[in-house]
Amino acid sequence: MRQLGICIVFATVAGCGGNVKNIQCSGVDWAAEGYKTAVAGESVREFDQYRNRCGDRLEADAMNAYVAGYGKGVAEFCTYDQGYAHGYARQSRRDTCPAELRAEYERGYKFGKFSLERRIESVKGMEEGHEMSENVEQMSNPQ
Amino acid sequence: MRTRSLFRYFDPKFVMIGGAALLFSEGGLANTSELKIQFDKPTFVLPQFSGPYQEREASIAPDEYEQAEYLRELLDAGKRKEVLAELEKFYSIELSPAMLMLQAQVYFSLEMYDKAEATYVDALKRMPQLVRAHSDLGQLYLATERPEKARQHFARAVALGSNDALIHGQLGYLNLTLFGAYSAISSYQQAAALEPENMQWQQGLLAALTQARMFEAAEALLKDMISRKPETSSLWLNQAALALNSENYRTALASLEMAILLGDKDLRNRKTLAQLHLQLGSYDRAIELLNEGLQKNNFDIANIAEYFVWLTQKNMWNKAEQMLKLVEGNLPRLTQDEQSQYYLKIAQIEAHKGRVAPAEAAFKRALELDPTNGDALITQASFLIQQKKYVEAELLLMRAEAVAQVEKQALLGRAQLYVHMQEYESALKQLHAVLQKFPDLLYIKDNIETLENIIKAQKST
Repeated sequence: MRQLGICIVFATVAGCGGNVKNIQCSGVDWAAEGYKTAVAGESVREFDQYRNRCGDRLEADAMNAYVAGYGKGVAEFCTYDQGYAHGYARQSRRDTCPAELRAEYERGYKFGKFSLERRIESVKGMEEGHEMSENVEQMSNPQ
Repeated sequence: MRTRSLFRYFDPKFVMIGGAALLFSEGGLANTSELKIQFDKPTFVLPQFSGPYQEREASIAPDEYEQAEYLRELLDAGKRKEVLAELEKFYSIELSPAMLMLQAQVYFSLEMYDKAEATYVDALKRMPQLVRAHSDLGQLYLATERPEKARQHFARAVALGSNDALIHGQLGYLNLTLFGAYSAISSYQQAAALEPENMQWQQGLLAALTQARMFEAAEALLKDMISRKPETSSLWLNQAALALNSENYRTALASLEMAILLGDKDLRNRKTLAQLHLQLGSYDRAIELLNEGLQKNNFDIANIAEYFVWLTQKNMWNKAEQMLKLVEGNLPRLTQDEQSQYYLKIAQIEAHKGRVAPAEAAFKRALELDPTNGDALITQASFLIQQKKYVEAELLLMRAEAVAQVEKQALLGRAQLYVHMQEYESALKQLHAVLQKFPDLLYIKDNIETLENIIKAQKST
């Protein structure tokens, strides 16, 4: 019982700790950080936590570097192929793409989703076809 | 003195027009002033900021419509800072290129050039073919005096299909100033084709054509411009400059007169006009202009000396005297050296008229005012030789030898004097001294040989 209690306390702390990201306010490769955020499909607003929590301790050019890195990442992320992959994998559509890249990503996403649906339909059709052929066989060979 | 056409004496000259240097005739001789047409300072009007939120090539994203409408209301109410505050709430990547353009334009209009530049560059990173961003960025670089960068962006805007006369015109202007005339002609032609009524493009084209030495085309264009705006004095000045270049001095003179009649006030143009009148023999008008110039303290003694030479070469001694009388009233304003030059000219006139005593008095005054006036020393020595006052002449020539500008003349003059006095040994010795000092004067050797023969002949008889 005592052992179980310790486990419960530990699990609670670990659970809380999981939501609190340990952030640095300087000495960070901001461009790389921005890039990583973008290719993960996350919003540029992720940087808000640095701004809010670091305040004046945030490095002077951090935001510009972060946004520049983010811009590079988002250009790689917001492509037709990525959209297709997300659509095909039934992932949610990302809304992080900037205006000029959004259309391509969404076109890919729609087509990915459509392709998946077609494939599902086709598999379903094959299954139905198999059932139908079994019925025909039974009708032609009544025992 | 050798006589040459005065028109060959023009130095190469560059005349500014519309920010462009126009190359005119070459040639050149020291001690002659340039014939110059002085144009107004080049004006290049940076267009007014045309108002953001117009003529954008990039579209607003659908989710920005509502906000765009709000921003437009703020702009209409002149609240540009509020517009910026709204846009600055976003990371740049969250704004569409169209909204970025709006932001950049507002920065530009508020003269926040660094931020405007960064925002335009940001927009171009995302849409490298955004024509409006290239043309606006070009304007920004012009406003911040970075012409090379401005030119790059205007050229890019044109390459991407911009058909705005202003962009072509600005590209023409920048090409003209950065790369020369040939690269500017086509741009100015394009601008003039799009806005034929805009004189700025025509003037730019004219400058480019003239600088490229395409004078026939320039003249034809100018003729057309003058026929449309005959009251514009700068066009007449241009015509005068072109006429000077093609050595059509009568047209140059008439055009300059027209420009002055239409209000050109530049005193240097009046000086050129006076020179032209002198050269073409309309002395009364020349004297009138000189008088005007002297009243405005425009003509310096070097010009007067030059005109004096022209008039006296043409044996117009009375006119030369008349001109000097105009100077007389300005004597107190002249330096001592300049006054010395004036008295030298007076002495020359008196000497020419055979009035010995007044001539001597004037020479004396010239040398009192400037004892190192080499011209006065040489001229008076020459005068004294005519009077057969050889000893006094010799003394003056010896003084002149100490004046660097006339040293050679003085040494040769003394040799000549000894020949006059038939003191051939002294003349020979003097010529040897000259040759030692100026070994490039090869003809002296012939003179030496001649003198040696004379001396030999004398000794043998």
